[in-house]
Amino acid sequence: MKPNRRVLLETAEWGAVLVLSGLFLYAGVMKLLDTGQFYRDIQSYRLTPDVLSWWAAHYLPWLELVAGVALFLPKFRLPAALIFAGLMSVFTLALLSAWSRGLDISCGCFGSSTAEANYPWLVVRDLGLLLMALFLVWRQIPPGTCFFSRRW
Amino acid sequence: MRVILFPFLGLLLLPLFMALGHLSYSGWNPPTTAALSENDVRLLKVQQALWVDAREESLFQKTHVPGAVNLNRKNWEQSLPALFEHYEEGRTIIVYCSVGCNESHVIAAKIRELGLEDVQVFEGGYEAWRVSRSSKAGELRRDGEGLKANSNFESRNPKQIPNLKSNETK
Repeated sequence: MKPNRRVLLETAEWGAVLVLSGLFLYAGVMKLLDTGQFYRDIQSYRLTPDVLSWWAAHYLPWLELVAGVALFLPKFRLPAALIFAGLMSVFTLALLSAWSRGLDISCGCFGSSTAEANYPWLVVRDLGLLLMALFLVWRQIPPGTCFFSRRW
Repeated sequence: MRVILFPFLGLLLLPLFMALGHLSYSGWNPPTTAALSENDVRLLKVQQALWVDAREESLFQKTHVPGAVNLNRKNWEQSLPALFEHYEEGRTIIVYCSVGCNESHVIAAKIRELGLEDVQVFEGGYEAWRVSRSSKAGELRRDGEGLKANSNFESRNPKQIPNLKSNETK
């Protein structure tokens, strides 16, 4: 493999680690500062019962914080990237569901935000973050492990 | 596979224990805000209620429940004095927004945090309130003396309320 390409991919990997970690650590802290507001934001999607929304509002911020820190640890980078990929898939599907039902929501992405839902932008942003997480997963799979693993 | 399974489970379980600790502090069940149906609104003594419109100011300016106060997260600081100006002890506060909107629940919860307990959410929103004023369903008009009903809807005379229920079942 050409050295330039290897450096480029390693730089992109670290860039993805910094962006994902930074975003999720910030999002987790903001949600913990106002869990009640995050609970109401989850409710506004009208996808889950109130009790489940309440429990999710308490669990998700801690998950984001723990996975955000774990992303910096080589041994935990693959599981953390898988968790981020799973989270972004769920968030994107929830957004698409709310958009298709015409709901007027605050996205709840960063805790007590007063921003109204700009659906196209939010979906594009979440898909971008999902691709970033999938790129990290791909980079962590050891070479030759499976069809999707990298070759170098 | 085992190489990632244990770290993966660890990353899922550690936040779970933290969340359980957090839940033990904030309560295992969610707080509830009473929600009103359209029928509740008809039967309540609505002339005594203070209506709060949680929609955007532009929508409020176009049309709103007569006498309502516009209060949402954007204008919270500026509009809060107006809420207290119109509020009296023992008066029910009814918060509404648009159909499919969650802002009414958010504003109701914020008003409750101020210490005002009798706060209800009108789930149907302004659209449902407007329908309740249509000629087919009867009419709620507001005059200087408060909300007034005619025919099938509601009367200030409580004795007519049982007739309203029987009319609705037909």
